[in-house]
This record gives sequence, structure tokens and C-alpha cells, in this order.
Amino acid sequence: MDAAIVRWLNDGVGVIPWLDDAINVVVSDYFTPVALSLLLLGVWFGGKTTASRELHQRAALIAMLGVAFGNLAVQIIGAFTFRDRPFINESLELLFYQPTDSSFPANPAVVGAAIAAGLWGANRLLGAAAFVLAGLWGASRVYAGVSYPTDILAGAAIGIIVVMAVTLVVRRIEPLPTMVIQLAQRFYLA
Amino acid sequence: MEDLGRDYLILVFLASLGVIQIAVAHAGLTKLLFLKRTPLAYALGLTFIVAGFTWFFWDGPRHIPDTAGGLDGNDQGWRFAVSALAAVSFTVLTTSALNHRAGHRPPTTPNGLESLRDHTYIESLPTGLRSLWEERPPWMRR
Repeated sequence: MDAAIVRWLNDGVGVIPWLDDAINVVVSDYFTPVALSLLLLGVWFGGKTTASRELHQRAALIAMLGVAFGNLAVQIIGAFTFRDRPFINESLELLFYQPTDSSFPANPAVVGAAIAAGLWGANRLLGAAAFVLAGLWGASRVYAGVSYPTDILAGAAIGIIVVMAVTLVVRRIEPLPTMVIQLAQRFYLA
Repeated sequence: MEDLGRDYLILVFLASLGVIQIAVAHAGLTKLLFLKRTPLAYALGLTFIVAGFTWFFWDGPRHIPDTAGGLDGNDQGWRFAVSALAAVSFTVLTTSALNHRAGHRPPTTPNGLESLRDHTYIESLPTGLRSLWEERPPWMRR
């Protein structure tokens, strides 16, 4: 089933050249991660009131911690499991370079979902936009032939679960997060 | 690697300038705007973002594995932080110069970004630093 979806999506490569060009950019290591990180930067400055700004800044901190711990989780899982990339086992038209690390879980999906879930906690609209962007990133990796759908789904689940855990921990370690924001406020950066 | 790393820094710097302009225009932090009129600030911000991404991806999608000169996650992380911080610094310093008014009094209380509706960053900073010094913990007092 997993491989069939990859083959079905990858069959589209070369059919619509402009779509391939667009996906080539979305799947890049530099487009979506930068776009999602810029969302966090915007959220940091964009609240209209002090209270809303603090809520958003807390969400940005949670998202950043979520990315860090999500990456750690991927490293730990990668130490125990290895899954070949789809292009190893299938005859695919690659739109990307050939990564050598484990296909499972997809690290980009962890990063995308962690940022989106972190934002979702403070701003549903921006959170939804981030989820769409992260979803496109994941889908483009399947289309490009470098990830299986289950790699993406597992990565997204890890990202969301890690952010939920980080949110609980951040509540537990109050007033530390508030102190970080208040310190930044003294420098007029929060 | 060096070219890609440098280009990545420039991409993030330009796009961060744009995002900050859009965000502070939305928040009404007028003393952080390069242009006084909010619609122009949105347009300028969008221009920075589009310019950064267009320039970076002009020659293609840059699919380079990190084993062959691409940037891995850690590399991207610190470069993003450095470049975004540079964009923040550039914004606060430039807008302080652009929006400076002679004889304008600094804020009386450190209200964080909220103060930057009416005061420039450079006007405000001494108030924040003073309050930090006055409220320093006992172990820092002699």
C-alpha cells in the first residue's frame, strides 16, 4: 500500500513540467524550513496586545523546543531501526538527491508538524497555514520519491506528540518561560 | 558549501526583514517601521520576502546532500538564528535613526515591544537596562 502510493504519485513526475518545478522548490531543504521558521519570527513580533504577544511568543518557544526534541527523537529511533528509501526498492523518477539516512520516520515531517502544532496552540489560523505548508512538504517528498507516506505520517505524529509533551513541561516549569520572555521584554525584544 | 551558506544567510536576512515589517505593521509597532504608512510597510515586507526567495532559488532548487556541501539541520539552525538576529538588529537600529525625534522623552516603564508604538528602540533601551539593574537579584548586589 505504502509503495503503491509512492509509485502512483511518482508516476506524475514529468507529466506537468510547471508542477514539477513548483514541487522541486517545495521539497527543497531550504524552502519550507525557512518559511516555517519565518512564521515563528513573525509570530514573535506580531501580537496586537501585550497578552496576545506573550501567548504567541510562548507558542514560538514551544515550537522551537518541539523541533529540537523531535529531532532528538528521530535520532533515537534511527539508532534502532533503518528503513530503505523508496527509490532503493522501486523504479522511480527522482526529483531530489538520494538521502542515505533512514526513511523512517521522516525528519522534515517532524519539524513541520512540531512548528505547526506549536503555533496551533496560540493561533488557529497560523497553525492551520503551517500544517498546510508542512503537509505540502511531506506530500512533495513522497511525490519526489524520497519518503513513504507512513514515514511522513509517523514523523508528523512524533512532531505533534513532542509538542504536546513540551507544552506540559513548559507549564510545569513556570515561572521560567515567563522569566525568559520578561528578560527579552527588558531588551525590548519581546 | 561556503557559497550556499552565504546565500542562505542572505535569504534569511532579507526574508526576516520582510517578515518583521509585516508583523510590526500588523501589531501597530509604528516605531519599528521603515515606512510610516502601514500599507506601504506591508508592501515593503512582502517585497523583501519575495526578493529573498526569488534570488535564492533563481538558479534552481539547490538539491545538495549535506554530505556534499549542503547544509544539514544544525547548520541551518545556527545560520537562521544569526541571520534573523542580524535582521532584528538592523531593523531596530535603522528605524531608531529614521524615526528619531529630537527631545522625545524615553518611556517611563519597560513595557517591552509595546513601548515601541511611541518610542524608538534606542530611546527605550536605557529604561529597560536601568530597570534590570535596579531589580537585580540580591546575590548581584554588594
